[in-house]
Amino acid sequence: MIKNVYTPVSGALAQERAIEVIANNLANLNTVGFKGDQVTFTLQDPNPYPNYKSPIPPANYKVAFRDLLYLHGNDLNYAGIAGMERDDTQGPTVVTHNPNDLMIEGEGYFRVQTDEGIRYTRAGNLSLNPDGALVSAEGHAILGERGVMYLRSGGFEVNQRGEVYQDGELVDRLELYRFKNKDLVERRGRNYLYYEGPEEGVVKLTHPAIRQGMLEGSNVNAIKSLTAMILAHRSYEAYQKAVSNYDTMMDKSANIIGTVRA
Amino acid sequence: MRSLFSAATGMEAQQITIDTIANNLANVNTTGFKRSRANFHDLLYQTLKAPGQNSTSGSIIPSGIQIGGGSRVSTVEKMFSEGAIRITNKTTDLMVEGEGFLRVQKDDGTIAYTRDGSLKIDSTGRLVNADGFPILPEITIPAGVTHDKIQIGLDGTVSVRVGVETQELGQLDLANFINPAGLDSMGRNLYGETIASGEPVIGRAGSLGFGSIAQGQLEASNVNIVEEMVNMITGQRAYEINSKVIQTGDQMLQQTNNIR
Repeated sequence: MIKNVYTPVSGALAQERAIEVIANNLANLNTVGFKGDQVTFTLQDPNPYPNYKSPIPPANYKVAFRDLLYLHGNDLNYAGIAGMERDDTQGPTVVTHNPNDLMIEGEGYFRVQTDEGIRYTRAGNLSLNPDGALVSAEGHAILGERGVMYLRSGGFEVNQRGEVYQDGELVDRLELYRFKNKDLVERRGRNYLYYEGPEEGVVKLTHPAIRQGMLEGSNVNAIKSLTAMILAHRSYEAYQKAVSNYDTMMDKSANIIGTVRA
Repeated sequence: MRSLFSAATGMEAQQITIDTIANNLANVNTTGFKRSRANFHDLLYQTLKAPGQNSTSGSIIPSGIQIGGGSRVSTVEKMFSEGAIRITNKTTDLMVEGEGFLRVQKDDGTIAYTRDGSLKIDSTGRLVNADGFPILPEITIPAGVTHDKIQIGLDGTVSVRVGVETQELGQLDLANFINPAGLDSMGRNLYGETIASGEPVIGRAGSLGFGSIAQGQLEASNVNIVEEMVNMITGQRAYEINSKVIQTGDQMLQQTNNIR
């Protein structure tokens, strides 16, 4: 079995995933409330399933490079993706002077009632739907202390504590939530996050900080991302050089060493 | 290579930003124009490894692997903030100070809404907008009254002075919507009612929830050139950066092809 090429291939595949993540970050360079992702690499265990005699692991998911696991029990190491970490730092403040725009200062997420259930978002570009409910840009209700918040047409004021006033009257209070275990947060697109754990894992903030007339920009740093992209790209190139060198080596062993001369 | 497609969605989204900014800047001097803003959201994520999943050894995987598919324009939203005031001293120029839209009746009988108060008087004496659509409720200025004798009060009352007497002709009212951003932009400074905007609420100018009507001034466009320029720069650069990602993806595929 010729197995030496698989090590650089595993590295190249990991770098390809990294480029994909960077591409998504950069595509969302101007998405309100977007948080960038970072990939972390790991040494993949060359023999992750020692208890199984079968070469194919009975896992319920499969990553492309795991198909290589029939090499199990060998002495080579493979590179893999350990996971992805969401960079939860605050994005830049964009002053819009639009009263429907809210920015969360510091930690916290708005709670959104969608048709599929509760979602969380930091995108504060809100509006009112025809019933007067305060909704996200996707048209899903933003929940306050008393649930869906109904407002009349015309401006409303939100103070820093999240209290919503209209014509001087307190309508409701916007609530922000944080997650006890960040690792259970799944991205669902449309600027929404989904918490996979039990309801107790979502905690209401006691001191929310909301600013009206501003938006939180994407926290993707274009310069950092481009540098990371160059790095991933060049690493990918190097892995491919390694594959092609192995190829040359094997060519030599097959055609030069292996030649029977008269 | 998902990165090629993710970057393409990014470029497409940024192109719409630039298109929106171009329209805003083209209307920088349009009376009653309201600027638009493109909003984005991230696309669905492909989950390679769900967060919180158990690994085979019984421990929980600390973070999953979710690879996103890029971005998309979710809405292009009209911003109904007030534009600057332009004093014209023309008696048939109106400005809605605060919330509300003037109503006009189009040729096909449907009602449209506008913030452009540069009214004219047509051959029959009716108050009409720049396209000749009558303002509702219809008001006819009697023949022989000169323009400088027309008075329009803060509450929309239209009256003319004939000799020493003041003759009341009617009262303009305003329409407002719970969600003005949901109105259909029909061009010609007109907006149409939609399901998203909700039903129009008709009320007297100056009453609760409605602005008042100011004579002799117009509402300028609410486009802020500096803001648009800054957005144009960020939009263009984001476009450029995404094109670089496509180049990188292309080169990676090329290298793969050149391995052998």
